[in-house]
Amino acid sequence: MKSILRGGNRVLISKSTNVYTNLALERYLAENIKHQPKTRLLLLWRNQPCVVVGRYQNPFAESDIKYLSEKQIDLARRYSGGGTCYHDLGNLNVTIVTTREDYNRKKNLHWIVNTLNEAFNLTLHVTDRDDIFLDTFKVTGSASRLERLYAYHHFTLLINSYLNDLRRSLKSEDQMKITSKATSSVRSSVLNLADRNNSITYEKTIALLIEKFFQWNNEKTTTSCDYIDPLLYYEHIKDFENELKSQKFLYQVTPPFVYTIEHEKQPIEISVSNGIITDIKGNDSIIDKKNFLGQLFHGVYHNIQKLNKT
Amino acid sequence: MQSTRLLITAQRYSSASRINHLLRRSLTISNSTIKINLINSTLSPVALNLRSCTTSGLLSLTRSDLINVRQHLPVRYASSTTLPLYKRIALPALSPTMETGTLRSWSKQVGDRISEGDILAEIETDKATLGFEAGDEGFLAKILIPGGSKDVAVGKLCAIIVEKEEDIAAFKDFKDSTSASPVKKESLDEKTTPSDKTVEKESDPVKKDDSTNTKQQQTAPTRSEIVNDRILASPFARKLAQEREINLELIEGTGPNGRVVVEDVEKFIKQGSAKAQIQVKKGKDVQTTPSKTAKQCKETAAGYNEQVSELQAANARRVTESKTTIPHYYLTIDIQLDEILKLRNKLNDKLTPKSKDSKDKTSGITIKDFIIKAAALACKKRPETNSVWMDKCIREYETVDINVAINTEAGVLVMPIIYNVDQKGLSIINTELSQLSKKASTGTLNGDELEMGTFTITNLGMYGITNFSAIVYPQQSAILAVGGVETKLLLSTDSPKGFRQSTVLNVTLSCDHRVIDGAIGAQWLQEFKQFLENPGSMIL
Repeated sequence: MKSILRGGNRVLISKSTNVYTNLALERYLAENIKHQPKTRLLLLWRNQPCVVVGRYQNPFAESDIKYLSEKQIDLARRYSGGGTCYHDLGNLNVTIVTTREDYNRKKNLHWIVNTLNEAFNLTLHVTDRDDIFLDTFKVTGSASRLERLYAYHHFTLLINSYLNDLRRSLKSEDQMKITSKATSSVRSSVLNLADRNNSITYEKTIALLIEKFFQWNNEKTTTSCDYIDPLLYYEHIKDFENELKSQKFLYQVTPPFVYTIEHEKQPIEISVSNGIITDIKGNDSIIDKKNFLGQLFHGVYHNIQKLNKT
Repeated sequence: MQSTRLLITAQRYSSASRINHLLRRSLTISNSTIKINLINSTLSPVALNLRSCTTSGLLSLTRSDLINVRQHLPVRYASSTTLPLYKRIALPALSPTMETGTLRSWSKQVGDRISEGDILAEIETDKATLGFEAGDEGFLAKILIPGGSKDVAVGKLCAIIVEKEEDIAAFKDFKDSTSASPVKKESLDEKTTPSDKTVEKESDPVKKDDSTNTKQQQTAPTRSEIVNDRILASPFARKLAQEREINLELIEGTGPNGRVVVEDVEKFIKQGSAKAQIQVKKGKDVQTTPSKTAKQCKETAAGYNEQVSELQAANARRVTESKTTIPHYYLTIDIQLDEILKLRNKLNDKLTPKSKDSKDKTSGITIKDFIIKAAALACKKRPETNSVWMDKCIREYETVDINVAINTEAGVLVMPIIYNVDQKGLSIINTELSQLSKKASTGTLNGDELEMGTFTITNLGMYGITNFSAIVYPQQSAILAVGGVETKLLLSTDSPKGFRQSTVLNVTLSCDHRVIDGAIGAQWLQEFKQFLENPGSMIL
């Protein structure tokens, strides 16, 4: 059981499609494997439909919260920075874990671009912002987490995702209403790799990446590739998983923001800090402040929306 | 570390005054609690005629003894006349191109004890979150940049750490008085100063031992890291880097085995490493020059400094990139609008009675719509103008998506996009354009509407400008600058008077010479002129 944490150039593919489990597994592995300099751990995973926001983002500004709950699309916040993405089974997640010194996003992305271009006859390129674009369309978004001894860089790869669902989930009407210092996503038009070359599938891609990964690391043994069932390590990852699922981490860790609504033609500014409504500025007589002050914003969000319409 | 170097250098000098100087320097750097039986109490400067006494003790030390001395010396502390010894914590750079970061939250409070490896704060930059850890032990005395601060410059002083708990109070009202000094001291990334390269060579063996004891958190962290690493690079890349005095460590290698190749070096230079370089190279000088130039600015001209907004900065970058990378040339032509005006009036008469909707305040089709349509058709006829230079190839776009420049009342220039103009009818173009104009004036254009298209049209005719030359946008190859409409008298053999009145429009096409040859550009204008002067040909 402990051998899962051994060092060296390895590939692990997660059997779980639960976003919270996978994010917890990612962090657990990054923190606990025996990091060896100049070696990389490649983690491949995918999730059931979900929206993943960056560590310092505001989920209300990045996605349609109501739509997500209606369609039972999970909402998760990851530990790394950057913007929001939509995951589903057509979207491959790739994480590359290295020692802190070996952290190099551009190297990782160039490897992917070269591998995919060669194998699938594409014209992908890496941009300044560490995205991968195919012509003018984005196919990959990156983010990373750096700690003292290790660092991981993860990115998504749109193979065959439902782009309409993606657009619908990431459309936020609250974007205009929110003022904050949270990281905002830079929106781009997206494209599936399979749209450009319809022979590309999820299975083919992971097989390709596994094969090329060992080559890339000049690794002679190409057998360090395992499927990992996170449930077997539940005891180890449950703390992370619970944190990721908690309302606190999802909503209350959002950087402070001001939510502005219009109620009876008057603007009302709701200040939220640590997920709790700390102040309401606006015409006093109109709304009953008692019901809102001190409440968790995401708890009374529905009521606020109602106020906005009247 | 530096003090070790000084001690070693001290050994090499025979002149007493030089030794004094060097000893004095190491004194100010080290603290006085060295437990070595070198001398009676502390290192003391030498008197001219006492060459052989105390300093001989120092001079007779072997290298390994000096290393022992080093281990007892703490990391460099700053001190001033009124404040106790303290250490400055500045925002680290995670990559050579990183300029700012956001300090999201502090994990320690003022008064907390800091142990080596403790996380001080959470920093976010460039899609990466970093647990910024303490390099050394002590107590957090003062926080200068509060949590939640966005766009903090790399190298900016964020906090103060002191060695002793009782010193915390002295920093209650501490203010950062230095100008934006460069990153060096607490930088966590792998930079070395070229000027120190020679010093490095002698200190390398010293560093090897040190690095096993203290990890990566020394104040001069960079020197330990490159010792065991051989940077893979092609000979030419190495030479080029050496010429430009760039450290190969900073460059991402994209060649085989992660080798640094010439393209990487060139790209690195372009990426604005020059900025980081200047900071690194000039070392102490930088601290004085910004203050000097600031002073000079004050003395020359008074003015109002308006902060550049993100939009302005992005715009500035884009136009600079355009002007410096794209070889522009300009073609200009006059177009007689008489036929188009007649057609417009005819079409509008047909359209307006049909719209019975009282809310629909369409002003009808305008000349601008015709221009946009004609431009799109001309692009289709001359696909080179609907392409872009991509270094190794020229991409010919499949659709003609035109960005139309709109100057809002607020004074902001926006370029919303109309997709597939070649396939759209005039009325659709008209509707879309008016919608976009409305959105632009209220500032409600969304990301999709501000995407980069394949061609741009800009218009300054409303300001009375007769003609002008615009700047091609980076992802395009041409831009049409539409000037004002004038009524002119033209020679005409048909007319009995020998001349006739005509409404003339002047347009200038700016082209990227890498993609569009002069002849092609001229042909585009010919087609464009043809479409506008003989509107019927647009149907062909």
